[in-house]
Amino acid sequence: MKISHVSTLSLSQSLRHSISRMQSEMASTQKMVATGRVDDSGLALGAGSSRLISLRGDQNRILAIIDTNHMAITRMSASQDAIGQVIVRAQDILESMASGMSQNTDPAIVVQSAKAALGDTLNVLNTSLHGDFIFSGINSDSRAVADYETGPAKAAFDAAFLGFFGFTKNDPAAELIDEPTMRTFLDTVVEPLFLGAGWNTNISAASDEGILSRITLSQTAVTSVSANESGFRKTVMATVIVSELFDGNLSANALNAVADKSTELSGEAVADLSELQGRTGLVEEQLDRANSRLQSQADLLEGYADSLEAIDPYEASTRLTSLLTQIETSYALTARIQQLSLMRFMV
Amino acid sequence: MSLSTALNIAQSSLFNLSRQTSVVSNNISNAGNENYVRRSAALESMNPGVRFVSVRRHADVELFRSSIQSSANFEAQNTLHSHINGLKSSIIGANGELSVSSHLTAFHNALQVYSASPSDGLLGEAAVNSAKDLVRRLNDAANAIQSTRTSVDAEIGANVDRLNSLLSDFYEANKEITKGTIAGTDVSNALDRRDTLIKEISKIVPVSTIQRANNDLVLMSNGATLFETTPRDVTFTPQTAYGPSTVGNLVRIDGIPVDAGTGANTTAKGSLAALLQVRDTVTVDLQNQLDEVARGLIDTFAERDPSGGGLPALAGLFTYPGGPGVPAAGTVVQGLALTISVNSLFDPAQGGDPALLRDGGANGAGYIENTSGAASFADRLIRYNEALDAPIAFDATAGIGSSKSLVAFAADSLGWLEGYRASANEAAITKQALAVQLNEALISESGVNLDEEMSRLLDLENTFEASARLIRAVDQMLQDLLAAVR
Repeated sequence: MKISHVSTLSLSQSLRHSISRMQSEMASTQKMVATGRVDDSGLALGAGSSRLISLRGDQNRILAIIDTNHMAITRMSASQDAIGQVIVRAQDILESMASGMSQNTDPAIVVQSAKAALGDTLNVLNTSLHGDFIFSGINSDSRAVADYETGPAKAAFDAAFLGFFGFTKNDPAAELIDEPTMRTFLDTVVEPLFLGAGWNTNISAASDEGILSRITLSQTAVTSVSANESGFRKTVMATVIVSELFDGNLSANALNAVADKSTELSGEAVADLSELQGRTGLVEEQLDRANSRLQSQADLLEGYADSLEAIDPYEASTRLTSLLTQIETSYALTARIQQLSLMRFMV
Repeated sequence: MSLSTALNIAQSSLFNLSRQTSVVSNNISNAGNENYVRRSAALESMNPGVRFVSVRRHADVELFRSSIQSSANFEAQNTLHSHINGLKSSIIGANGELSVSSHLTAFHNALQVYSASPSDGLLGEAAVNSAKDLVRRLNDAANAIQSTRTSVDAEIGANVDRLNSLLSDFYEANKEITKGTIAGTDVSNALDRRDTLIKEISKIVPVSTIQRANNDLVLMSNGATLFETTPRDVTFTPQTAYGPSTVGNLVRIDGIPVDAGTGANTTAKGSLAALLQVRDTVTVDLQNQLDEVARGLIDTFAERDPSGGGLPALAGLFTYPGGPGVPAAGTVVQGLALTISVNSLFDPAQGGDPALLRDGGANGAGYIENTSGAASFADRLIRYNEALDAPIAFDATAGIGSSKSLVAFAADSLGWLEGYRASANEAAITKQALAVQLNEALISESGVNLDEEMSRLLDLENTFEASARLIRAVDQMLQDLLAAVR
């Protein structure tokens, strides 16, 4: 009796099975060769797929933060630029005070240059970017500062003058105001209007609270400069007192006090604003550093995520070639085996 | 020994030849039938001459048993695998584009962009729209899970019906075999049919057989009697529709419930146990995970008293029909993913205001955090952004840990399903290899080899020729004898 038996059906069926298995393997290998990635990352990574999607998610978030940081950087450099312009104005006042006092320049010219400096300063403080007023703090939908001439500030100044002296600055009696009285007026009455609570009621709508930004995944920073900073207040006050009081009927002595105060204020303003520029620069640098850190982090994550899915292209293409050879052999074999029948030899 | 005896022997040889030829031709005609077991004519020598005794059927009982076992294992694994694949494509998508996790990331990004420019109402609208996408995805995924459960339940019903009809066919085949065996007739065809039925049944439930007198078979399945003289009832009542809290009915064989399989490399044997596993564990776990994501969202975006006072936390951007109260922490709320929605107060398409996300106050003035109404107030948005990354408590019954961030939980939910799919796929490949190999061995052992049958046919031709010559020789001898006598 025969030892082992093999049926005709099993011969042809096993060939069919192996061919279909190789063909499906070829389809996935072909895709791997074309894309350089695994055919089905879910099957290849299994539970590790959560790592892949986390990496991709983190990468996306980091790229989003880089984008939003760019907006903050734009805001900071616009602020930096604006502060620079205000410093120039404050220095202008310093200069014109110095030259005005020594050369007995016509007060009207001094007033005009002070008025121009005031208008410029207020204008700069109302800089807007994408519809946001950058010096308004978090109240970015309202103008940082109101106009001086048409706003409540001028009225408040005039009222303060009248309240202190009992007459207006154009009154003939104003000529009699002496230097110490004027100094007292400026220090005790005008100063609160600008450096104190009056600033927020009469001029500024900005909030002290700056715009908070999330600059890395775990770090936040204030990325705006408020119009309420002392440097701005002092610049405005220095220009206002000159443009208001040089305009009136005051004696040279009183004007001396005004010029002194204005020089003092604008000197302080330049110092304060320079310091503010420094602080702004620090935030800019922080943003820059955050961005370069985030970018390298994103690159790293990209690399990780890619390496999870990546395959060796050489291995995949050699596998594809060997599969092709195998399948071809298998076809040839099938044809040969199908011909292998006793029937062909029986006539 | 007389001439007439010789003639008789030759005659009987011719008769046997015709029976043998019919067996051979039957074999040849079934060469392509994988359920056919090859036969051979067993001859027994008797005096005088040769007598045809019986048809022998070359069944390999051991191989048959291992083959049906492995095919039950493979069928279960394959059923599980294909349903997991279906769930993957409806819940994750081919490359994760449908996943809750990727939608959560998109929403997270939209929040980040909004937090950088809180004064830009369009960005707020974009964030709310992104939240709506996320919610829609959660709803869709939860719906997909429940419709999978419904269709699996229907499939279980169809399997049970098929099992019952197979059992009644089995009854007919078994009856024919016992009758035929008692009567001593050839029952090979009926045996083939009965074996085929066992193969089919074992694809649905695991089968073990007990052979009794007269070729009578008893079928058992995991201790439950499937068939004993008569088929036993397999009962099941399908549910018409599934909701998150619907519990599927049991399948009972002769009153004993069928157990669901467990694990990605499933313990289930036969499609029925695998279907029960999909219906009662895999989809339920997935649903719990989605519900936890939904609860996490409602909780994270709930409005809390900004002054730290006694106001209760109430649902904010994300709400649900049980709102505005916030669901209890760390406990899964069944069906939350199906009913979670974006609060219409935030939705510009429904007349709402996305700025509520920045300012708070959807639940009344006591909840307003940005009291001055500042346009660039970002604290709250930044806090939401960071809350999505901060660990919160999840229900451990969802199967993927109890303390992690919402973003990580959503990613792990995806990883859980992919991990399940990868293991199920691997196990399916292994089990398929075994099932195919055993089936091939079985076919190889009990199938027909055409060459063998042809050579047997040649033998038969030769025997026929010899017998015919014998008859002619005897005839010649008799004629010679008669001529001599004449």
